[in-house]
Amino acid sequence: MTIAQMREKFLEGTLTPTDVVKESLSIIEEKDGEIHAFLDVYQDALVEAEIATKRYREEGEDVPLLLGVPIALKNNILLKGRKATGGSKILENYTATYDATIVKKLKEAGAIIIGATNMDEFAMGSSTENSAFGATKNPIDTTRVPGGSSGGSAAAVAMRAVPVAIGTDTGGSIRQPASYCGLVGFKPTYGAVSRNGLMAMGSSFDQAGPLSLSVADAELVHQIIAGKDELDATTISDDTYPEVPIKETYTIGIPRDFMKDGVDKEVIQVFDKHVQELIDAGHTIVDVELPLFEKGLAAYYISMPAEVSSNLARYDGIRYGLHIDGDTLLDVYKKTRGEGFGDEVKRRILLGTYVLSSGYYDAFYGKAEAVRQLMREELAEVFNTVDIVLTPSAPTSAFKSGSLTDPISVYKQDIFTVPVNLTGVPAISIPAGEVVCDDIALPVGVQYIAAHGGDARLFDLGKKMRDSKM
Amino acid sequence: MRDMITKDEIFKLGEMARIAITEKEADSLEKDIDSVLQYVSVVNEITAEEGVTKKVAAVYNVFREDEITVEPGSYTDVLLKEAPKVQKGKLEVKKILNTD
Repeated sequence: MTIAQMREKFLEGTLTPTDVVKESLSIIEEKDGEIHAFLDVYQDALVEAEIATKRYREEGEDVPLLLGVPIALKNNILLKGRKATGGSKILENYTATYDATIVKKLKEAGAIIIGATNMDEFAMGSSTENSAFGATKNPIDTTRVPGGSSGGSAAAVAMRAVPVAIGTDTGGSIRQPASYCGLVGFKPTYGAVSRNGLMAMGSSFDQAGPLSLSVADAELVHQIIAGKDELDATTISDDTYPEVPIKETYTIGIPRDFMKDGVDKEVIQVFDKHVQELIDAGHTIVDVELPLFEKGLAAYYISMPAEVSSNLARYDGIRYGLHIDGDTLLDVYKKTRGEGFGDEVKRRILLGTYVLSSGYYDAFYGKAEAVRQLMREELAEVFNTVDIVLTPSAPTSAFKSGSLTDPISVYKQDIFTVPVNLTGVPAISIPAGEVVCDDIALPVGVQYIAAHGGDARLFDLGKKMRDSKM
Repeated sequence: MRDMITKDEIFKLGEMARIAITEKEADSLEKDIDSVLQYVSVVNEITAEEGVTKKVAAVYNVFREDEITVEPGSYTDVLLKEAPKVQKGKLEVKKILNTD
């Protein structure tokens, strides 16, 4: 059930928040042993649900927009008084000391936070197999991964425990799991949503956004969590970028060259079917060239680990989190971080340390940032002639658990999503069809990309193409 | 292709990043980081082709007055509760200067 349907029933009085939260908890009880979407479930959500139920009776339509709606949060988002692990052993026993700005906004809107979802350690991964607390399974086919790093959030919605879960997206971590689990996943324009209270991974890339069943729900939740925040100096205002207007029909560009290699034939078939649906709906399709986008993935795997190595320096075993004693202070740092971090995190910190070290800085980090700027210019050029760029969300459907092990093949999962974070534009993944593997229909998503500030345009086209069919 | 990184350098990076690396970890890190470095070196090609050498910054500083906006001490207890070692309201750390 979507938030919109839930709200209608709450107002009619045919369903109450208490019913919904009880149902959520029982779905988690029944299915999460196998799926492992949740790291923590808040049973006291029922108390909040009862208060919400009473408010609907007494206040009717005046209640806030998300009152009584259960929502799950990726566990790298701080919720005061609850465990915030980031999927890492180094924060296994850390309790958040304040609410993230987006959590404050969700609470003000009446949402009931029902639990914390599993994730790749510090959001580094594409499968949610890199969590220190065990892997999450894809509810559609439990032999497959849900995608990542927001795989717990995706699985929580896909198993219908919640209508919406919040994820974070540094290189595709909302959109790729949304694609693998048959959901809508939205990554806002960089700066649209406050990062205050999110565990920083790549600060010039990170954004939080919803995973949901409908585009309208994603839009509603995004509007609630978005906005300028004095606690995050990178948040933007309404007038930061020129207006990107909503239109009756759009000119949509496809970078075909970019989809030549490494994309599953079946994914291309679903993609082409979606292109036909866009044409049938009156939109205009044109070819565009984005030659730097393919190479851009390389720039990401320089700039991102560089930011990771700086951001994760804070986990030192002194102020909070894991502490392993040693003879000297240096020993404490090294042992704590050696024990506390998993393989992928160590790999990225060392890589980041390398590309930032003197002698390599210009050859790697400086060049990668220059490439980002070239990509922004290339994309801006394309948006002079098209309204939206269309790509698959990921080159494959959900892969088998344990099947992707070498880092480069894992990184290539992000080929279509990473350029969006490198350039800071918004993008949405919507379900476009299915491919059948071992008699199971696996969802495949397509990605719409708009210019900076074009978030509303993505919701508009998404609603026209997706919600109208629900 | 020539190796871009040696096992010794992995240990050196571990020192710089304050992460204890075991022998076994160093072997797989050497292999993985080398393959990633080979892969990402393509950025040099792009910037050479495009004739770009320097980053054009899309960022600017955001400043505010350095004012105390909360009651001093109002977060001390809740923050120290998360600290592994505390002594008299302060974080406890190892001695770092040897005065013997």
